[in-house]
Amino acid sequence: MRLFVKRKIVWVFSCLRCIRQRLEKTPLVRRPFVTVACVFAAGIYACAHISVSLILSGFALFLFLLCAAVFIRREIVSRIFLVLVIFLTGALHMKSRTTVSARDVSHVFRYYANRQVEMMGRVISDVGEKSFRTTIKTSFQCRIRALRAPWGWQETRGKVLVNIFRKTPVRCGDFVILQGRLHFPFSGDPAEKFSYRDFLARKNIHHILSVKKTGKVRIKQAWRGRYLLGLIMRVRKDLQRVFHRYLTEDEAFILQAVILGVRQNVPKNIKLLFERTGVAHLLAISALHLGIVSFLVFLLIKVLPLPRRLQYGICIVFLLFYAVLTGARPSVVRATIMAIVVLLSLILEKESDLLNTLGLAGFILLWLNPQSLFDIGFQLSFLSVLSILLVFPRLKGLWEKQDPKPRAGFTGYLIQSFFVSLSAYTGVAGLVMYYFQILTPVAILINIVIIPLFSLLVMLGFGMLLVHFCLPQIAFFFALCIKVLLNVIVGITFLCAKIPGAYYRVENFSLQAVSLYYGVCGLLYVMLVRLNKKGFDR
Amino acid sequence: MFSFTRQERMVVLCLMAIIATGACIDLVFKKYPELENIVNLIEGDRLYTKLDLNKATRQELVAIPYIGEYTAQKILDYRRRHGKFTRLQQLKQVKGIREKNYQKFIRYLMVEE
Repeated sequence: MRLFVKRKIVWVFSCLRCIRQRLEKTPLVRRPFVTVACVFAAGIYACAHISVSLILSGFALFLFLLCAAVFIRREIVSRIFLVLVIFLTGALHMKSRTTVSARDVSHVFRYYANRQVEMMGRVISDVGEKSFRTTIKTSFQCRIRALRAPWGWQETRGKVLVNIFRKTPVRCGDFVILQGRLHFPFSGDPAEKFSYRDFLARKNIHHILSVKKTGKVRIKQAWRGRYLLGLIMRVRKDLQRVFHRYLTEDEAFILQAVILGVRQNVPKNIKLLFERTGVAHLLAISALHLGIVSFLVFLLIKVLPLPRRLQYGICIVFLLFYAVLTGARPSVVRATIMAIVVLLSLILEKESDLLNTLGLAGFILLWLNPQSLFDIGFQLSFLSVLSILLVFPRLKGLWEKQDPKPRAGFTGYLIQSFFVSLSAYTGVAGLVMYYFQILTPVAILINIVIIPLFSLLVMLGFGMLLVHFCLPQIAFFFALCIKVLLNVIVGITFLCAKIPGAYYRVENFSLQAVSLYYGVCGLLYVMLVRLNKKGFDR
Repeated sequence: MFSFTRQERMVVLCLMAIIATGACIDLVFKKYPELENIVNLIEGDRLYTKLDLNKATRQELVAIPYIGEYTAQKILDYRRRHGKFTRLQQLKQVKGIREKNYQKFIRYLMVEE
């Protein structure tokens, strides 16, 4: 019996040694931020689905922290404890961000629900205007400071979405007093995957204040605090006006989405068309835009006799400005962090690993808002980039193995574009089928044609904005080129949507089917890696 | 005077190309106004994928902007009760569809003869 136990212990230790050796070879270990981001995300996911006592998880966290410190010399044990610490930190961070304060509006909501209520607070977001039935709906986010109770103003905290059913001169940073009806956001059909209530909850907004045409709206203090944000919002409004000056209404709305990330006014038929052909990502700000912004910034500051490192620094400032200007959505923040890391690595003359940078971007985004893990934009953005970074080099490697003579020129570009498109689409197809119930095989082909044209459009868009302020006489020529190019892009998309089998409706694509899809993708990826290795061994 | 760097040459070249292309487009649009209408896809009606009202399923109708579950069901009920649609204007007789809504989603529908 004793011998049997001894053998078993030896076997367990040999297994642990084997795992350690494997772990050291795995790319994840050499890319620490990927591991940190994945484990942190797992903690957030677990917290959202499992209810664990705060005291218990806090106690476990400190225990694991202690263990990680005690066993710091024992590599594998220390690593395991470190992973557990990151997991629990993620879970606790999620818990702390979703737990509302004792003075939050949620606690007093029941006294004011569906009744006229007066509140004061600060406008903390861009003020959007949209036509609504016969009037205009003005919407913004407001951080509440106080609610009027029968005995006077009662200090309250929390965020609400304000909808005012008329045009109002409110701006970001204003301190306002509003009177309206406080209610929950509608949750929509339970069968639908998208819920407006959940969407707002991810931004820590749980209530809406609807102010009628006759409701009170008073600006108590204009333009206080958040000066920089207010200024950026004003710049955004001015830039939006530039597009309307030179283009027709619908064209201007599309270009606003493409350049400034203002998507709410894009014509519905265009949105539908882009969704059906799998090019809806064109309406989201991504790395492509940041690349063009960096290029233009470098082009402009090259005129000045500045040292190279300072030029990179200025470019970082511009990228941050652009990220805030476009609403700091997950895809923009992800691309900005990655671009900044690459520029910093150039300043410090150190090499940066893109996969590790992606992990860092994911970790920062989840730290800023853990609930963004459940955001569709966040998931699609990270998955597409991850897929390109992992699959594209393997596909390229395999192709080069088959055809050792490297293809240059147009053919080489076409092959590479096809692989990038295929990698990105394979990565997001599962989620697209789950959230949008559509499969768009045509996206793989259309992206090869559309992306170069789209890059040109984005460059012309930025060029037009720049020229409008320096040489307004030339802006008209830019606008004409944009008009033709935009219509060509939309025309090609429309023609591609007409191809038989361009898209299929996928009804009831469940979460299990998504898991199965990504499981199969994982297996195919492992096969691809093996095929690549075999090729190299030969 | 012409001692441009390679990058400066590229920038000037791009700027000139844009101005020249813009001027050509402007000229063509002025000379042949019908061409502008052909190019103007976004503003026109040609981009709308039209769905046959007599063959449309509930899911297909719901996928159309401005048509919800309720309206889609009412359209199907009307079709079941009165037979096939012969013209689009019949939609106005469907319960819950007002002139304003009708004008909004009419671009997405057609009646095949």
